[in-house]
Amino acid sequence: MDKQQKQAMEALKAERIKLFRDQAAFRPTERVPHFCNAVTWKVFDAGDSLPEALTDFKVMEHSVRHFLDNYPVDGLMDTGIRNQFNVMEAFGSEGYYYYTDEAVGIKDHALCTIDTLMDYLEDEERYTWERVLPEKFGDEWNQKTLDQWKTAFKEYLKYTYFIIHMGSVSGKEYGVPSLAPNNPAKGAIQFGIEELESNLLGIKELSISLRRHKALLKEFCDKWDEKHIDPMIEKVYLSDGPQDDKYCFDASMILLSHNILNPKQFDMFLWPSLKRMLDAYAWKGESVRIFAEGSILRYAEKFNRYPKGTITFHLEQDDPFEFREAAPNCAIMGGLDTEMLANATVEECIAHTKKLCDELGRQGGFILSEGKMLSYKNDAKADNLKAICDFVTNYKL
Amino acid sequence: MDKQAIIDAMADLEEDELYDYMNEIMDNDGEGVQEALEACQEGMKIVGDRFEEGEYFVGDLIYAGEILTEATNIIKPALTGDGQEKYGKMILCTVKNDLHDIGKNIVRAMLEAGGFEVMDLGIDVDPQTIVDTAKNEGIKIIALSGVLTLAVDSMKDTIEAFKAAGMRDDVKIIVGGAPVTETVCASVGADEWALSPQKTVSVCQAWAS
Amino acid sequence: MNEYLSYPEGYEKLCHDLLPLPLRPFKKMLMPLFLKILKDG
Repeated sequence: MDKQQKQAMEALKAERIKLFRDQAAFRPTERVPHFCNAVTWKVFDAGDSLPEALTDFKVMEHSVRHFLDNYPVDGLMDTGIRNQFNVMEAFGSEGYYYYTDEAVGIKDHALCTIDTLMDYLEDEERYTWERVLPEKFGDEWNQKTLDQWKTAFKEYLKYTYFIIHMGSVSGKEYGVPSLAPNNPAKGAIQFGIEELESNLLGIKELSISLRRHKALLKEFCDKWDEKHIDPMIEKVYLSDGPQDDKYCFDASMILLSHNILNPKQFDMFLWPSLKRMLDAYAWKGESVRIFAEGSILRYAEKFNRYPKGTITFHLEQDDPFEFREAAPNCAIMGGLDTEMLANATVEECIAHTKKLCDELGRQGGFILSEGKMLSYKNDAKADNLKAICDFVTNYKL
Repeated sequence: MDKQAIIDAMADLEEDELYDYMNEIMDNDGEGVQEALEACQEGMKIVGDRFEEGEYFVGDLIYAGEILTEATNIIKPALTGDGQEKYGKMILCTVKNDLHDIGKNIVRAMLEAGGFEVMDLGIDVDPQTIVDTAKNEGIKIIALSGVLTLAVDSMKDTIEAFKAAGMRDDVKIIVGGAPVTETVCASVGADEWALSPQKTVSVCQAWAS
Repeated sequence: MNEYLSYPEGYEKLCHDLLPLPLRPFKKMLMPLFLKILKDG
């Protein structure tokens, strides 16, 4: 790339960041931006093999570049972050993640039982070292040699470099900005109840424990807050405020537990921590993207207390029009579902996209995106996605 | 045996209380066991209603399924086995290439409480296994579950396998789970679709009646 | 007996043996993510 091209990409990236920021803050823009949620679908679309793409960074880079060359998206959710398989392979052990020719999956697992939760919280590193890893790897654990550790660590470094490299490729060569800072101090927000569901107990055990061991779980979540959430909140209050020129959002978080919690449990286990965190962002005038897995519609009005520009909900399954009614202060990311992308005609896709732009984006507050990740090869027809990308790039509001 | 108390304990998800009632029945040589089972099923129906109304959510359904199973296990030795499953056998499973079982297990608990003997074939079940089981067991109602969008293809493959076996007109097929909509139902060729366990139960009951 | 199994001694020794000199100052940043991949992945 020559200097002029580099400058053009830099300008395009800045323009896109501004588009995302403006729409998130309900400021009218010339067009609606598209933050594409294509994950492993990219690999199939590029004609690459999924197992190869997941284990060979060059293949994954080819898939990502093929996607960015063919689909003019303003943002891309995933540029290869699922490629951790080599680390486990180098370690000589099977992990929870697995892949086939068609899909990536994760086996059911839980790192704790209800009896060991507080031990975990007391010293997570010690618990991981003394309990989790020995249990996960069984007899293999005490036979790991320094060579195996070194090979695995080398693969981990290669993986880390690859993520950084792909972020740079997207930004510098395609003008595609990053979603939010990936700084653990501000970026990786995981609430206690979410950690319990995703890693520590699993959905079934958590559901049962919410009834059988309510007080203990509450104590866990409060202590988790003290340890993990409070320092983050403090950092937000002490931060310099919005990073308007660098990222599309100042923070990004994923919520899953609202899918199992009833209203009383939501108010007890998730809302107190979430509210304090959002209060901090609102106070600083920062913009947060929340990916709401499943449906969060029934809790939507709770978020409406925040001023426009604070929260953008990336909706996985909720209808964006219904959500706008329920929480008019929250910007929406979404609108495209795999069912339409996979089965509708190009004309139907464009008509739907136009409706989204006209009704949700004209006054600001809307970013086009796929709700569910595009993962499998039948999740979208290439022609449909291409037509939507072209339409939204050219359609003036 | 206080039938209403058992209904309430099940509906309110009062686990210890419910088990106490069940143990009491066993202490009394199983007297009233049939009514107790019906009471549990009625209580489970109220759990489903509260889910529909938004008071309970998925975690509550998982818990309800767990305590219903345990309560039934306590009184099982006293049950004669006659007339427990008035709607007969049906098949339930998560389709090929999908390993999710939480939704399926909730639906199973609700179907069992709703009067079905559920043959749960598990997860990641290939189409031929489902067809063969339906054929060998003479089963007419099939419920296919899935969470991944990939499951939609497997649902379609399963229904095609029933057609290929010349059995499509002999069975009723309902599909359910996160990626399922009315359009998906039509495109895979299913007879019905559901996102809630309650709807699954009422559709299957109507088919079995 | 594997010399790395104990905590914190074994773990600290592993970190020392694993991290090349230039990366040692970044131990607190690199090791938690490495452990996370081994734990969750």
